Amino acid sequence: MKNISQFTCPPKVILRSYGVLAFSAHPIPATLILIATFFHPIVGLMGVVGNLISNITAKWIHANKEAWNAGVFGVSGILIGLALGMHTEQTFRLWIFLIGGSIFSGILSVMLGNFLSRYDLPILSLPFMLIIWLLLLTIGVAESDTLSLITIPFIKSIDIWLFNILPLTLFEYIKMFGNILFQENLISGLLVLVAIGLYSRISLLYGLWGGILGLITYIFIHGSLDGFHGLNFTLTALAFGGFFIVNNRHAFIFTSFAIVSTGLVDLATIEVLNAISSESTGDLPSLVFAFNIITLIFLFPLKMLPQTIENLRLTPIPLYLIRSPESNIKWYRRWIGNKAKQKTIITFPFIGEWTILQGNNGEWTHKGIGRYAWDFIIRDERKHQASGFGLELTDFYAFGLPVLAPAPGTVYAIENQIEDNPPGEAETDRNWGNYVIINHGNGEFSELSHFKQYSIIVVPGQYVQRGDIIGYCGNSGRSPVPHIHFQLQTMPEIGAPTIASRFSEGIINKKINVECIPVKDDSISLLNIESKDEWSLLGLEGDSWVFESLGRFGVQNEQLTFSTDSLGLPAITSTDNRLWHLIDRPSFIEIRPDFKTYPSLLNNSVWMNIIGDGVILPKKLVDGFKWHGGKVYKKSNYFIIEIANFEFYIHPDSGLEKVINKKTKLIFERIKIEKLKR
Amino acid sequence: MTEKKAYSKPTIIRHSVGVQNKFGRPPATVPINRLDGFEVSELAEKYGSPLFVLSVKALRDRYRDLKRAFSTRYPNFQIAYSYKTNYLKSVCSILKQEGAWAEVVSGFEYDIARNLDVPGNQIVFNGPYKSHEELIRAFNDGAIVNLDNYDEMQVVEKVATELGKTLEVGIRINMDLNDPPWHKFGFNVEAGHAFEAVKRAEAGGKLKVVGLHIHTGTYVDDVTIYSRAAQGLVNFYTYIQEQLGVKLKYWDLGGGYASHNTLHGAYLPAEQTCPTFDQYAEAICPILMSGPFQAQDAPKLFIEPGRAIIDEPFSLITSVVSQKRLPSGQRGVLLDSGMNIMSSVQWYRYNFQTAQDSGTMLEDTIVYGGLCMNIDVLQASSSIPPVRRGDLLVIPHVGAYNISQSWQFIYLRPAIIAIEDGEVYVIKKAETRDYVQGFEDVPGKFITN
Repeated sequence: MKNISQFTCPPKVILRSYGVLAFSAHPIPATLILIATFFHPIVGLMGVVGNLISNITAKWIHANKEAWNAGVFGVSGILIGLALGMHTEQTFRLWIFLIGGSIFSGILSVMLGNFLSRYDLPILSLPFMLIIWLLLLTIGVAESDTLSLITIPFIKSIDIWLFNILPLTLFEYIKMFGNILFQENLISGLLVLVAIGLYSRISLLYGLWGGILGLITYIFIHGSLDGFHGLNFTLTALAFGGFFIVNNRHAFIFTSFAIVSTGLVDLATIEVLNAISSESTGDLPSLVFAFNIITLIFLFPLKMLPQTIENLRLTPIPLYLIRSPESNIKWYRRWIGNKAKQKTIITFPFIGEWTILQGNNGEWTHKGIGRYAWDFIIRDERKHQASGFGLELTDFYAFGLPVLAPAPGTVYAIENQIEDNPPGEAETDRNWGNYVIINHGNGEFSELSHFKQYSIIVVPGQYVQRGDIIGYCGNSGRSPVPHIHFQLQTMPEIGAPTIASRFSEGIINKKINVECIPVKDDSISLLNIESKDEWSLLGLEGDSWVFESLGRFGVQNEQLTFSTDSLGLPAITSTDNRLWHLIDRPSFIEIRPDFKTYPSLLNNSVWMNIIGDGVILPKKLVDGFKWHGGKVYKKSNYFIIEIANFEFYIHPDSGLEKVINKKTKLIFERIKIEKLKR
Repeated sequence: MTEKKAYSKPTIIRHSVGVQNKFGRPPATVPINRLDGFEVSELAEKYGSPLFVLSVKALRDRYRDLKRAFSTRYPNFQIAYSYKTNYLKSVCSILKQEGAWAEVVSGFEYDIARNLDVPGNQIVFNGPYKSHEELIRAFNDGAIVNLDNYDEMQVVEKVATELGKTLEVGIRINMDLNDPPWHKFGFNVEAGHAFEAVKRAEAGGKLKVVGLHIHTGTYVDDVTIYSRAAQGLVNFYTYIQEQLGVKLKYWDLGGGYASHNTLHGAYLPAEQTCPTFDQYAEAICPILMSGPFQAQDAPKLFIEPGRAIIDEPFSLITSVVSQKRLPSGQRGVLLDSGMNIMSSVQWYRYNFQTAQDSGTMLEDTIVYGGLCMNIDVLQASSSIPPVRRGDLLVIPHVGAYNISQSWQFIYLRPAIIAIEDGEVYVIKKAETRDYVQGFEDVPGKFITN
């Protein structure tokens, strides 16, 4: 052997495989589950052996490393071990079958995993199902009476005692959770419940609900509780209950439907198996076939359907992101939040104070695919748009005023020929009038309309910067009064669907706002912060700032390194390889967490706890500067930025030095600046 | 009991009605009997005559109109109110409330601004004479200082040495824009003085040129002069940027914007000749925006309006003291206010409008001020309906210079009130003898026992 290490498997992976069994991949619940399998020591041992062999086989054939680390390739191995352990025939031959079956299961898991991952579908215990049927057809079905198995006597006696004092339904109900591990005693059922509950309260509730609904379904179909096995119901409930899809009321209905369907499929499977089985083989058990099939069938369409922001009742989570139902919800909120944010950082396309005549979902024209748009006009003190009677276009304050590029980009198309309408008249043939479309290079396009005839001063192909004058406001197209129409859209063509967007920053009704969606009658103007004290959050690429903080496990250091993201834009990486994008806004800098490294609930990073949900800090430091959501003030040498519960201490020369959480009194302090050798 | 009328010699005058001519407005015959909701007669009774009345709403509207016109055309724009036109504390405070910075031209005005809590870095310090101490104070406060001459530049260099830092300054330049050209302030561009001044300031190593200031003149109602000034600024900036690498933080187009007052000798009334703020802005901003910079890095544009925002909001209530017939046959009317509080009569042909219905029988009248001096003529020829002693007249648009340039002479200067939202505020009490003589001292030996 050149390298023995490829035939080893670290205990944490073994343990994780046990966790995955009950959708609870954390050492503590996984240990509880492991203990539960050892109530029948031989069964438990066979489970561990099956797990080990499956995992090692998967590693040997170069399974996907992340998935392997998560323990998904050991699941079927465990189940094969447990199922064989239950077999009456306790002989040496059984161990040979276990070893062969586990190797087979490792290979099949990787194979199915590779195939299903194309559709982002989980392997579940599908390999186990296929292999166990093959094995049982070979060695013959002979399920043992569980009570006759070599069980730890103590457990056995407790179980009998509980059986006598608890109502039968409750006993069966709790015991059902042990079915997941083919255990037929109440203690293991309890342990599984505790394990699930420790990991996720949502899962626990769904598991319990799955059991109840399963019982009802079974009684409804079958007439009695005879031969009831709850494992399919509980597993389906756990799978859909916030694990593979985000938990909400729609998910609840969907899950309930899946649970009932599982019952039907399970009964049908039993009938089919009965029909195909012969005297020599005996009745093949249906086991978790129904759960596997239902999960894949119910999940597949959800994965295939396009997820649009308006239609997010049932949201499947990408498999690599799944940690627990709770973290899924957190991820989902963040994802929704980020989806609602366009990529382009846009600012108002004009100078001075303007007013919104029509905002998003406006009453006249901003409807349907065009609803995320704005119309800007100018009103004076009397709320009039024009001096005098407004009989001439030139009476209108807005007429002839400069229109700016809302974000940098390349001019894609212009229309410059359409004559301006007299006040009060609008042309509906050429709705958009004179327009400019700017390509921002990220799949988003700005469209600005109703320019004055021949006033556009840019040409297609020209690069414009934010704030460059591109033309002058007019009254062309569907425009009864001179105004600017602005929208961000998905395609370069005129009339393309609009994108829900926010202006990066601006003054709305005299108050400074960040990430704003101004509405009808708001008076708005560009933000222009005057200050000499501009600070920079950015170190040079490779610079590291080492912060010290009192974390959950005592004093810990966290190193933040300035790097670049996949697009080559500035970013921060933390010690545990999480990434934050640094988004440059005209007057602010946003620290936005990266999706793919989105933190799980069990994460321990202090920086993550502070910045986890993202934060927008002003780039320029002005004592007394206030905006919606925060303020800046000066204390001795520091500028303090106060946002929510956090105080960011910023030194104008050396940048961020300290963050204090006022609520928890947690201090996150920079102790060192490390420079990369260049 | 019928009131006994004052005697006046019977005269035959030509009765003229209707439009003056096809360009001019019809003579104003509508009396102004209310100011911002208050009866003129009641105000005069309560606060005395003459009386300056400030309409705060009109002031705010004027300011906002100006701000809107420029700030919608130029991205980085700031109004610095020209204190010298009217530095009443209330006026300065209202404009500060509206967001105006202060443009001061003397240490005294600088002190006024600081006393009103205008931050030092929101004061533009111009003026041909700034003392050493004043300059130290200004630079310590972070004020914007525009240099007028080489002597001043030397003093500022000395200040830089004393303060131990490089000082950022602006240079005042002038160009041949009007006839006669304004060459008093700053360095001339055409003669090459302005370039030399910038070069000299930079070469000294103690100053950094970050601003340019040009003042086009006063009451400039020809917007093309501003266009030429703006173009001149752009050209000059481009040149000094190329030659000396100067990067401007601001440029300042000064003041001079016209108000709705008609100048002596003007053919048409101001209502027809005074450009709107939009017209001024349109003449200036697009040209400045063509300067050598990206739109988002545009230098801050200052303008320093005075009369354009302060003239209209003020009115003067004054009363008729007497009317007499001159040997020429022209009627003369004597008022209780004189040119000591109406110094702008030197430039403006004011409208004298009655506060009560006096009929439409307008007559060409010479309006005398109340000073005991032959030169105190408020207007040599004005169309005024018949008035009697005690009748009130209202003179609109009197805000600029009249108050800051007023002098005390034989009468005490009147009270000044402000009206806003149905409230009257006395913003300056009428003078008393103590106020006038309070600083005087008579040495004992001059006193006759």
